[in-house]
Amino acid sequence: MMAADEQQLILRVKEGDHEAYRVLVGRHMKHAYNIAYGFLIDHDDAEDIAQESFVRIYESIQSFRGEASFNTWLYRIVTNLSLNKLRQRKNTNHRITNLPHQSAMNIISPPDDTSYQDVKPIIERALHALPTLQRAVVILRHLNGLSTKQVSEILRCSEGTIKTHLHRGMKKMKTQLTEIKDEVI
Amino acid sequence: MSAHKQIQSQFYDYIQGGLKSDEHSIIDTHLASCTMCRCKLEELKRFIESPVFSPELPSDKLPPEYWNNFALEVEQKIRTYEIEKREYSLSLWDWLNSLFIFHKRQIIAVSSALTIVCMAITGWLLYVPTLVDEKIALPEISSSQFMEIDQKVGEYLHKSKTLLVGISNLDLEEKSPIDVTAEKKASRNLVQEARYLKNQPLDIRSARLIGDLERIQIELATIKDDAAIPRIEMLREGIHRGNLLFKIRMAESMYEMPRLMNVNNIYSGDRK
Repeated sequence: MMAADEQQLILRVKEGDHEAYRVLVGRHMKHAYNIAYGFLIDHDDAEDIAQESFVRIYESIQSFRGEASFNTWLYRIVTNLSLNKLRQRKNTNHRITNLPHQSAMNIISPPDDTSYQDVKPIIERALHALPTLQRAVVILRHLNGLSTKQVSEILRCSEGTIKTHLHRGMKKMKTQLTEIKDEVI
Repeated sequence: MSAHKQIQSQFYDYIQGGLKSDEHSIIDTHLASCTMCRCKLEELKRFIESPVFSPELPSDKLPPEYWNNFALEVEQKIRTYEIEKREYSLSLWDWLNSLFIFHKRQIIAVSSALTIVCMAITGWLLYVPTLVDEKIALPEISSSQFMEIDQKVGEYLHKSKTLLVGISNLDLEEKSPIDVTAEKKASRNLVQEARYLKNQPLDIRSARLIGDLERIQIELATIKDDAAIPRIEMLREGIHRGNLLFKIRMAESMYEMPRLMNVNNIYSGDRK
C-alpha cells in the first residue's frame, strides 16, 4: 500500500504538476541508481538507466492505478531496464572482464577510501558470476535492503523462490569471494 | 527440498529479523537440535556482517551536487521526449503534406479508389442484413410447431432404428426364402414420413441423416421377394458402413424421443 502523501503526489503528477514529479524523483532517485548500479557496475550506465526509468514512469503515470506501490513499480522498471542493458552488452560482446570498472567511480569516490576500492571489485566480480535471478535477488534484497515481499513483487516470483535464490546466491557469493580473494593474493 | 535446506533458506530473514514469530520459533526449535544448521547460520551471519560484504550503497559515494542535478536531468529528458513526440507528429504531418504536393495525381487516384472501396463495403454491409432478414422471415414457424416437428423427427428416428435393428437381426442363414412383407410396409410408411420431414426446417446433420435413411428405406420398400437375401445383405453392409445406427442414437438424444412411445405398431400388419 502506498503512503497517502505519495498518492497525493502521484495524483498531482497526473494532473500535470512538474514540481510534484520532481519531489517523487528526489525521493526515489538514489534507490533507483543503487539498483541499476548493482546490476551494471558502471556509473554512466546506472545513471542512464535510473533516469530512463523515471522518464518511462512519467510517460505511463496516467495508467498507474496504485495497485502496487510506486516503489515496486519503479524498481521493477529499473530491474527490467538493467537486465535489458546487460543483455545488450552480452550481444555486443562486452564482457565484464574489465572489472573493476573504475572510470566514474574513481573520479567521484573520496580519495581516502582505499579499503572500499580494494574490496568492491572483488564483490562485484563475485556478484556477476551469479545466475541472473540469484544476482537480482542478492542486489535487491541484500544490497538495497528491500523486503522479501517487495522483491517477490518486483521479480514476480513467490516469496519462497526469493528465499531459496537468496540462500543459494549468498552461498555461491561466499565461495566465489574466497576463490577470487585467493586468486588476487 | 529437504527440511534442512528449507530451514537454511530462511536464515537470511532470520538474521535480518524479517520472519513472523511462528516462523522464527520453528527455526529456533530446529536449531536447538541440529548442529549442522547452527554452523551454517553462524557462517552466514559472519559473512553478512563482515566488512567485506557489508552493503555499501554506491549512491553514498556521489556528491550532493550530483543528486541536485539528477532530478533536473530527468526533467530535461522528459522535456526532450515530449518535444520529440511533438516533432514526430509534426514530421508526420509534413510528410503527408509534401506527399500531397509532389504526388497530387497519385494521391487523388488512391483516395478515389479508397472511396469506392469504402462505398462498396458500406453498400454490402447495408445489403447483407436485408438478406439475413429475408432468410429469417421465410419460415415463420412458432415454437409449438418447432416442438411438433422435433417430436416427429424423434418418432421417425426411433421407428427407423427399430427397422434397421430388425433388418440387421434377420436370420439369413436359412436357405429358404424369407418374408419381408412387414419390413417393406414399414419402409413405405417411413419413406412418406421422411419426405414430409425433408420439407421442414431441420438442422443440416438431421436432414442428411434422414436423406440417408430414406435411401435405405426406398431400397427396402422395393425389394423383390426372390432376391431378398442378397439385397438385404447389401443393405446391412450399407447400414454398417454408414454407421447409421450410431448416428440415429446421437440424433435421438438431441430430439428427446418420448421414452414410453409404443413403436411396435410400425409393423402394422404384425408378422405372423
